[in-house]
Order: sequence, then structure tokens, then C-alpha cells
Amino acid sequence: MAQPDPTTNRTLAQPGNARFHVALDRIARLRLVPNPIVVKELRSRMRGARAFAILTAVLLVLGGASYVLYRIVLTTSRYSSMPLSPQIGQALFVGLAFLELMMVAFVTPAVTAGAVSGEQEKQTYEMLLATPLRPGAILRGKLVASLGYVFLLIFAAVPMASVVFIFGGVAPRELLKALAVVTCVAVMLGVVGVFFSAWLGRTTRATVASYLFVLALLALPYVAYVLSGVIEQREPPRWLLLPSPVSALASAVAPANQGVNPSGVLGQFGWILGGGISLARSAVSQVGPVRPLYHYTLPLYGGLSLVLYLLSVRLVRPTRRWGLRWREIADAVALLLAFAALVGGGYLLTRARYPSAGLTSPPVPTPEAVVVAPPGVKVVTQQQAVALAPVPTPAFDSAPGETAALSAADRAAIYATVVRQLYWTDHTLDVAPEWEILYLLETTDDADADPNLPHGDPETLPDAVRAELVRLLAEDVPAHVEWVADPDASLDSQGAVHEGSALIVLGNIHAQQDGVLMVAGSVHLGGLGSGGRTYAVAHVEGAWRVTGDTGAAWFR
Amino acid sequence: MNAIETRALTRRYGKMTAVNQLELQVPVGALYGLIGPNGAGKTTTLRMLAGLLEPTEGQIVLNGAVANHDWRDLRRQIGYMPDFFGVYEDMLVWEYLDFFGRCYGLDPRRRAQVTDELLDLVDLGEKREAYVQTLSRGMRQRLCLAHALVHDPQVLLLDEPASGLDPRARVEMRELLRELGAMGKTIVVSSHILSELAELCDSVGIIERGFLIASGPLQEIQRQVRQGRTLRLRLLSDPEQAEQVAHAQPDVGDVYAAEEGLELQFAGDDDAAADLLAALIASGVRVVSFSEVMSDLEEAFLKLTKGEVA
Repeated sequence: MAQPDPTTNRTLAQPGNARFHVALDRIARLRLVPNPIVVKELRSRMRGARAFAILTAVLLVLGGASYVLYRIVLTTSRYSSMPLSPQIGQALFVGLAFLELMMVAFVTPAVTAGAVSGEQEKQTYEMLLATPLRPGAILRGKLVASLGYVFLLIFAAVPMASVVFIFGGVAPRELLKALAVVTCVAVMLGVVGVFFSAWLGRTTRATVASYLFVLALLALPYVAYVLSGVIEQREPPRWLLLPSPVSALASAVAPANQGVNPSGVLGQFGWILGGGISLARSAVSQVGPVRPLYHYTLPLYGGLSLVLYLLSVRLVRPTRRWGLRWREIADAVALLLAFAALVGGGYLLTRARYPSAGLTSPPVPTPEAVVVAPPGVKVVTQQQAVALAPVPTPAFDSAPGETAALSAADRAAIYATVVRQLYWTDHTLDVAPEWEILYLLETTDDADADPNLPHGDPETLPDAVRAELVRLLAEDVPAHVEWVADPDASLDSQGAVHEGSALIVLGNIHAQQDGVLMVAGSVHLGGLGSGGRTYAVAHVEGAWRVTGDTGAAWFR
Repeated sequence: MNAIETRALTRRYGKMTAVNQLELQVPVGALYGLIGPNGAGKTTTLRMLAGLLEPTEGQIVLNGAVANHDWRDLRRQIGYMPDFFGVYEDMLVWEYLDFFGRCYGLDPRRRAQVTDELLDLVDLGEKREAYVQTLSRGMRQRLCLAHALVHDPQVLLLDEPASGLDPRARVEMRELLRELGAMGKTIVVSSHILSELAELCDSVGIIERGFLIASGPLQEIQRQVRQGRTLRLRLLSDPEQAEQVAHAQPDVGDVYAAEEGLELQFAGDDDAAADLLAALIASGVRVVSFSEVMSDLEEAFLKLTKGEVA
């Protein structure tokens, strides 16, 4: 054992292995020597009482705010029928998450805006540049040191935030997501601060510029969104909110697919701060959960940080700032491409989870048919339209037979939207379904969805409609569709729908005088439950879409 | 062998040429003084040598190797002390040196050793645990010098190291530089005060409006400067006679009457001055005192430099 391996020795000694030695050298140079700037900055920053006094103050503020929130929720939800504890948990969580975000937004510029300009003002910069330290290392050191302090503020609050788990209503995963968003915002703002510091050369100017940036980031997306809504008189495009850290956080903390009505504090918060304007929530007629907004915001921040970092590295150089060599340009481009590839790869990998295109605006339901509201409160009513618009219990204007006026293709398209709505959104489960088999009953049954409504007689769906419906569903519903003549065929010996499958029962198509069609639909899931409701379907913008429903008729 | 050599080193700021076709040659081990009035281009030159400023044109040759575009090699071989500098707050004296040791990539053991050695060298051993901002101006200057020595560079560039120091601190700084010179380091010191460098340097370069107008061993330069000196004679006898005798001597320029005697412009060296005195006495002129007018050397030298540039 003690004998050295002769082959290895020889290989290492061979001059031909110079490349190997170079590689070894490189690895050796990667030894974890702390960045001198980090050591220096931390030594002076953490010295004395100031750093700890600030930390204590921040924690006290967060603690106080949590207590106030707790009292508020306790008072306001006394008469609520919802269970109290998860509400408190969610309220505390959302409150803390947004407080943290605000703290990060206002502390980070203050900490980073002096990074480079402070050295210049104190006349210590020349001596630093005269050392062989690379500009990138100086910049990274500054960033790590100042962000380290911000991270300390963020992570010191985590144990306190975990109080929410006592109350429940929040999954650890959501806490982690919120933490990730806040951390990313901190990094981005840190790079922005350092960039301004390197660019403007004066701490005061850099501070002002950084805070203006923060304010713009917080306010502009909403201003643009509201203005666009007012001017265009319709739902503004969702991407307007993309740069907002507030919306990103809202989309991260709101459960992605909570069912029709946002319930609980999280859902409502998501509603008010972005979800309500169809950010965090799936919209009418959009099939499946929408990719949450922060999936776009964070890569945007990442890209911005990377670009500003590369610019700052040039700004920090004492000589040859903009005399770029091809090699340096290639390196920068490679870095950006690698980042783009990472983001793109992430999207590809998670594509299956978010089948609908996320950034399109939800289609507008024909206003006169569904939402009757003055334009001024349009945004608010749109929020409710995100969930399905309530439709008064219909006294059907038509007998089922009159649906014959619709072509088989139309009928299939109408049924397809209903099935999709049931499959993706109204399945009564919290998570997106992964059913292997989707049973469809060959005969219509109005009564299955809502026995209390007037209903027509069952009718067997024509082959043409069935074939076309299967074809339409195959486009985006991953489950295998199987027609059954008798509901029992989908049941197992215990009378529950087979595991991993669901049974959907459709009603007749009832045309109303205003052109809206009413279609009943219900879904049965094994032992898990079932539910049904009557949907309003209208021809909007060239396609049949679900525009409203009568509300859940029943759940089991 | 030259430690530093510049070839047509030029730096322009817009239309202003701060350093113009500078051909500097500093031999290894020299204590080289760069003299010139404020704004002559001393700091610009030193900053270019330290790799902090890019020359518009020209080359820098350090120990026989042309400095490449990266300047990192340059920085490893050079210790630089700027003319104006600040200190980090909330930092102890030893931490200050430790920080620069880290910047130059010294390993921890070497760093600790160098820190102690340098604190001893610049006589700040007692202030080791003091905060940097509590140091006096002279101490800071010495600490800054120590920082430039952390990586044991062979070449030191010191921009006005004695500016703003009281006489005592000035002497201390001078002793320190002598000591470093004795250690074999090549030192370039800039100053706008000639006398300051005259006591310290073995060779000097005179820089004016970006041009290097004279460079060489100190004595040589001093002689050039002295050529324009003014001699003052206090006489008991008739000034007219003395004037005639003086005019007959070489190197004597204008002669004019002064209180109790004469003043005369004299371009010769000390030998010539002695000859002049001997001639005066030989011709019976009763000389009470024969002295050089201690005009500010700097002024004399500026007179000289301006004449050459214009």
C-alpha cells in the first residue's frame, strides 16, 4: 500500500502531461481563499454595535408587525366560517414576506451604493487598484460583503417567520419560494447599487439613482398596468407586471391552483397584488395552471444582474475600460448564453407542468352577457371573472332538442371547453390532476351536475360529436379519453371511480335568448370526491369559451 | 540596467498633454527624485508606472520587460503610494496591512510575518492594535508606505511622500527611504520641493509641463541649477572698483548695487566662485562677506526650467 503506484508516477512525470498540470494548477488556485475585500468589509462592518443594533431593530419591527397582523386577523375573522388558525398563519406569512421584501428593497441600495464610490471618496481606491486584485474580484468582494449583510437581515427573520407553522396554512415550500424571491430581489438590487456606484462615482448620486430604480420597479409596472387598462378599456397585458417584485412575490406565495374562488388569506393576497389581475391564478378558459409570474420575473432579474455585473467590471478597471478584446467579448457572450440556456432549459423541463401559455391576457368574456359593471370598476369585476362569473340559476329557454341547430363540430368544441374546465380547474383538488384515464359518459345528463335545476332528457351523443371531442381533447389533455355507456363501467367493486381516473358527465346544451349556452358538467374522482355545476359558454373571439357558471352546485 | 525605462511615454487628457514623450531612465537601486511644479505631470507619470492609468502612447519597460496590456505583472513588481490617500475606517493598523497582504495573495503565515516586520520598519509596532483613523498624519504616511511594501516590491513609486508632514515627520520619512534604498530597492520619489529631494536622492529628473527637461545624477543637475545663482558681496571699499574686477571675471553676468555692496549674477561653479573671490581680494577690494543669496532653490530651478521649455 505504501508503495507508490508506478504507472501514476510515470504519467505525472511525463512532460506530455503539462496540460494535466495546468489543470491541477487551476484547481489549486481555486482553493478557498476568502476574497480580501469580503474579509475587510466584514471586519469593519460587523465591528462595534451598529450592525447588531440594526439587526435587532429590524427583527423588533418584524416581530411587532407580526403581532399587529395577528391581532388584526383575530379581530376581522372572528365571524368568518373559515378555520381561524390557517388564516392567521397565512396572514402572518404574507405580511412577513412583504415586509421582508420592502426591507430588502430599501436596505440594499443603502448598503451597496457606496461600494465603489465610497472607496473613491475616501481616496482608498487607487491603492486598491494598484494591487493585482482583479476588477471582478473587487466587485464580487464588494457585492458579497454588502449582500452578506442584507442576507443576514433576511435569514435572521426566518426563525421568526417559522412561527407561521404553528398556525398552519402555509407549506414550508411556500416559505422557501418566498425566501428565494426575496433573495433574488436582494441580489438584483445589490448589483444595481454597485453598478450605479461604479458608474456615477459618487455615493450620494448612486444612492439616489438606486432608490429611484427601486421606486420605479415598485410603482411603474402598476401605473403602466392601470393606465393601459383605463386607456385600452380592457384587461391589460400581464407582462406589464413582470418587472414588479411585489407581483413576483405575490405569485410565489399564492397557491398556484386553488380552485375557483380564492379562499384564505394567501389567495386573497395573491388576488389583490397581482393574482386578482390574473397573475397567479389560472384564468377563464385557460387550460391548466398558468406559469406563475415569478418564473419570468426572476430570470429577468438574473439577466439584468448579469449584464450590469459585466458592465460594472469594466467600470471598475483603472485602464482600458472599453477597449474590449475579442476574448473578453466572447467570454461575456458565453456567460449570457449560458444563463439564457439555463433559463430556457428550466422552462423546457417544467413545460409539462404549465400547459397554458402564461403571458397572454385572459380572454375577455363578452361583457354584456356576463359582467354587467360600469367601466370604472371594471378591473374589480374582471377579478371576479377570473373565477367564473356568477350566472343566475337558468330557467332554460330551450328544450334540449334545439341544440340540433349547432353543428357537430360546434357541439364538440363546446363540450371540449367544459371538459377542460372540469379537468384543469374545477376538479375540486388542490393540485393539477394526473389522471391516466378520463371516462366520458356517452349519454348527457343535466341532473348529474345539478339535480335542482330544470333539466332536459338524457340524450346519446352522436358519434361525430364524440369523435371530434376526443380529437380536441387529445390536443392538451394528457389523459386517455374513454367513452362509457354506463357510469358503472368506470367504477370498481367498491362503487368508486377507478384509481387514477375520473368520470365526467356532461349535460345537454341549452341555448339562451342572449346567445349564451348553458351546459351542465360534473366530475367524479374515485373516493376523493365529485362535483358539478352548470357552465355558461359563449362564442368569444372566434372560439367557444366558458364565461361563467352557476357556482358549485354540489361537492362530495 | 534600468529598473524603469519609459519610451516616448505620453498621456493626453483631451487636448491637454499631461506627459509628453517622456524618456525616463531609472537605474536599478537608484533613489530617483522626480521634481517639477504642481501640474507638471509627476503624478500622471507615477500613476502610469503603477498601472493605474493607461498611456496614450509609449511603453513602460520594467526590469527589461515591456509591461503588457494587463498591468497585473507590473503591479506585482511595484509598490505605489499615492499623493493623497485615505484610510479605511473601523480598521486596525495590523488589519490594514493584513488586508493588502491578502490583496497581493500572500499566504497567512507570510502575511502575519510581513505585517510584524513592516510595522517594526515604519516604527508603528506600538500602534498595532490602534484604529487606523486615530493615527497622526505622519503615522498614516508611514503606514501607507508600509502597505506599498507588503509584497516586497523591487520598485517603489512614492508620490509626494513628505507632503503635509511636520519637519520631524519629514526627517523620519527621509530616514525610512534611505533605509529602503540601502535595502537595494529602486525608489522613485516625486516632489515639488527641490531641497527635499536634494537631501535624499542620488539622481533626479526635472519635469515641466509634461516634458522631462533634465535627468541625471544629482550633482550634475545641481550644477545646472546653480549656474543661475546670485552672489552677494558686502564691501568696505568702493563698489565701483569691485564691479570692474567682477566684470573682468568669467561667468559674471549682471552686477548691480545693493545695500553695503554688490549683487551679481554668477553662472560658474564653486571653483569659479572661489576664483572670483580671490581676484577681488587680490585687486584690493575689501570684502567683508561673500555669499550666495539663499534664494529659494526651487525658484531658481523654476527660472531655469521655464527658460528651457519656452
